[in-house]
Amino acid sequence: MSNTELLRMRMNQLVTQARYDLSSLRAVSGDTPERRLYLQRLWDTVTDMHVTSELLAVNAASPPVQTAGMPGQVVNSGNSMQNAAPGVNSRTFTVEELARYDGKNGRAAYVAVNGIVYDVTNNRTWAAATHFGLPAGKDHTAAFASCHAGQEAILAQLPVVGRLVQ
Amino acid sequence: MRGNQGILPPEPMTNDAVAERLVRAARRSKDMGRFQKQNLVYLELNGCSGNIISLLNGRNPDFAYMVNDMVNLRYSNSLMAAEGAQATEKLFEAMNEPFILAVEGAVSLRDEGMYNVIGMHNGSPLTGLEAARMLGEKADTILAVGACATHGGVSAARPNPSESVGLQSVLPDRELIKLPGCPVNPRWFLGTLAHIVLYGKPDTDSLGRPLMFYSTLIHDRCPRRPFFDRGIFAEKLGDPTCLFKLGCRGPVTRTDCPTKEWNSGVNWPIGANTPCIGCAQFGFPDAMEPFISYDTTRVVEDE
Amino acid sequence: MSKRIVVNPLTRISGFMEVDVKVENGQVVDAQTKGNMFRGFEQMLMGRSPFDAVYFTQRICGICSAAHSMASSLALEDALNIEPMEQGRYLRDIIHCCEFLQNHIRHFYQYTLPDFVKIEQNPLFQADHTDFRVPAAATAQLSRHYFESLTISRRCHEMLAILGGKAPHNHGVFVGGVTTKATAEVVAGLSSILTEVTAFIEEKMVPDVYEIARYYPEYYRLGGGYGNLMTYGAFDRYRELGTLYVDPLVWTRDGKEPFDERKITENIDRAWYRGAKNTYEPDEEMPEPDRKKASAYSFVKAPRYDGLPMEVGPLARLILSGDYTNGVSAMDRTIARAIEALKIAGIMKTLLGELIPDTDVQAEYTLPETTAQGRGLTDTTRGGLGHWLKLKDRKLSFYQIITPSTWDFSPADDRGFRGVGEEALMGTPVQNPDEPVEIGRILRSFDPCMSCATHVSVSGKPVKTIRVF
Repeated sequence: MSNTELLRMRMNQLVTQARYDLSSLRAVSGDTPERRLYLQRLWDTVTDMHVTSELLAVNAASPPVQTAGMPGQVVNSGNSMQNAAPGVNSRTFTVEELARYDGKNGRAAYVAVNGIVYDVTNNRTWAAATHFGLPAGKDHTAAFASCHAGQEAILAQLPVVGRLVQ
Repeated sequence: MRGNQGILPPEPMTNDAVAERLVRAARRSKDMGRFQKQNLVYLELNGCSGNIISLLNGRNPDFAYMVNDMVNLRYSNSLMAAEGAQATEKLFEAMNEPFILAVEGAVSLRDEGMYNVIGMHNGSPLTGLEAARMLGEKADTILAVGACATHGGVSAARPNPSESVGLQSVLPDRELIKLPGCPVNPRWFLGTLAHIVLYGKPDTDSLGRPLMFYSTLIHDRCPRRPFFDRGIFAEKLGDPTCLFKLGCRGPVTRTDCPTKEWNSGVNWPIGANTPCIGCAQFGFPDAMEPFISYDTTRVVEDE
Repeated sequence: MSKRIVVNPLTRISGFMEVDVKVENGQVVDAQTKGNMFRGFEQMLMGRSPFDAVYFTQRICGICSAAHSMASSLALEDALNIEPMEQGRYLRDIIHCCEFLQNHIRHFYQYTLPDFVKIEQNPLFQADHTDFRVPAAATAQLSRHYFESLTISRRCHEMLAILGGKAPHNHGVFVGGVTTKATAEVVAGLSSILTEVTAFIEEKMVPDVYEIARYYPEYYRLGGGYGNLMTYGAFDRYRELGTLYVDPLVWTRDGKEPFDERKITENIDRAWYRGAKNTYEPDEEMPEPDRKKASAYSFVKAPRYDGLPMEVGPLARLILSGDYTNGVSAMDRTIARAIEALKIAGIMKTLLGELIPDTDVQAEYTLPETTAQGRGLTDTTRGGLGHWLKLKDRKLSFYQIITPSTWDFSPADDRGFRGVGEEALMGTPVQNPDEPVEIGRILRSFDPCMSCATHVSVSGKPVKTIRVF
């Protein structure tokens, strides 16, 4: 993967992060510590975006260089993106097929929410293919609704691999 | 407390800086005569009494400074000289004056609390449940210390045979400062206590955790983060790379472990080449399991 | 005339204990030690990932958590047929040494000392009896050592954390040994702290114990009990080093003989449990708790060896290893703890000298497709600790734990044998029933850990797990 692509991915992630924080901020009223925390992170994200855009500009002006060792570069924090190859969105999964993607023995870790199948293999909150006691390879629509109501932005950050069918 | 100042540009919020500031201020204000020793009642309920042991590991300030200069420790099952009825009397006496209440351990509800009897008062058993309610209603400030007190922790692990709950469940109307961790890191407790004694309640997040210790994800300051970013994962304990595939809960746990570590800063779980098990995350242990999983690290060729 | 004395809480122990004694003509004629806390670890462990037992069971006890990581690792190794490398054993036992040191120092200074010495003016040390005999100058020195010991016991946990990640509740002890490697920095760091700790034990702790013994000589005659002694073995049977401390042995009226784990049973006649059997073998049954059982009085079950109650702990080990011969009493127990601390420091130094730097003792472990079972028996700070486990469908299907304090603080059994601690109280003269200071002194000489003793088992209805994000 070229540097430009990596940087573009990084920029996209930062935009997602910023959007997520903005939507979270909308839900927080008053001057609470939580609000300050979001503002702080937003500030950091914007700084990151600045750095990344500068790097993009440098990249555009010069021939490709080694990824590693570039000062100030922040390489993608969610390797998950690599799974979001074009065309996979058309894939369909039955519940049984989904169950195979439990993250074990080298298999990918997929979960379904509201009929969409997402890849959580390298999502940081899914260590050992489990998330707060929930295993991968299952439809977690109900759990998502009860734990992340109003936080659909979380899903927007996950690579989609297909649709769940009956 | 200090409004919006310090947000832009970023405030020096490293935990080092915060802890140092607190201790320095504690010493200084005492010298100036502003330091008022407050009473502390330390209640151990259904748990392992590991948090009080962890407190003994405190350093800057240490436990000796705490009991001699910061607070009058009026009750502690593990440490007080008095025993039996006289010990229980001291617990009741302490309620006649203002006091800070620190509670470790969960509250067992089974059989009206009879699965955790902490003493005898007027010839009847005093259950942890009664003590928590009684003291919790009167205390000026309440600290829930360790995972069992903050949310039930291991004492409430499924199938929760003792029907244990976190302290908040029996004190629904009281504001608690919650210090999750299994056990609590002594800095988290002593730093919070210093803040209370000097400046009042520290800023907390929406779940009651002091921001100075619990604001940042372990993952975001993990020294092994570069391995995660490059997808280089450990396949067994003892490996020097990212422990994510083995079950590391650093990405969902907010503490200052990566920068301040444990036991005077000599090491921490990830430093011991093992995953963070999320002991300071609500839901520990059930929601943080499996702690260690090998079948999510390996690639089986014929799959 | 007869008088009942109840001490509850018995403070300065780990966990909650009530003591109920009957005194006639100034002497204890009946005694019951009661465990007043219940959590049910054995039931909690059912269905969990077997590897999680190592970290999970540590939460039984805050002061001796590493002990449970040892026993559960040994039990898993037994079940999975894993033979740890000798370097792994050394490293793991070094961690265990750190816990012995931390535990013994804290038990003597923080838990025992206030029984005999009126430590400085502080609400924490207000006592209600007047039997303080140590002269003022010595009292002042012992008070200083109380606080100095806090630094030293903290250093012991720092050593533990260097190899184990953190303490209490370490991450380093695991199947195969430990998860960290010995490096020059680690070995030098541990050696340097150990030198400091050893000097404290040698120059302060051991003399301090004898200083107290000087002023309370009658405790050499009190708190004896049965005199049945047992150890599962400690720092023993290394392939090259042999036994550095003590082999698995028991001592009864019939003399000294090798320990045989098949002779262990548990009895629940007077404990708040119900089961198919009143007496069962460790890998046989997990009884259910029943706080309303009328004939019972404790959450501690009654383990027996060949039907007999056995005393476990530092004194039992030192007598069985031949290192101590003075006798069995409350004071001997307290002295033994200090002497053992010094011995452990020596063993740790030996083990540190055997380390080969940068040896990785960890491997990737797999669970058997079928069933398996294993047990891990080892002596820890307070005595013999046993974990028995079974695996099915790659999950834990059975777990049984018998802790040292279960041995020392069991209730009576169906054959009428009192628990070891209860028996030790029998015949004790109580000078002032309103200040029964003798009772606490005798029981604390065992170093009770009721967090451990009352961890025990139950099967209950599953409770919905509430997820918090």
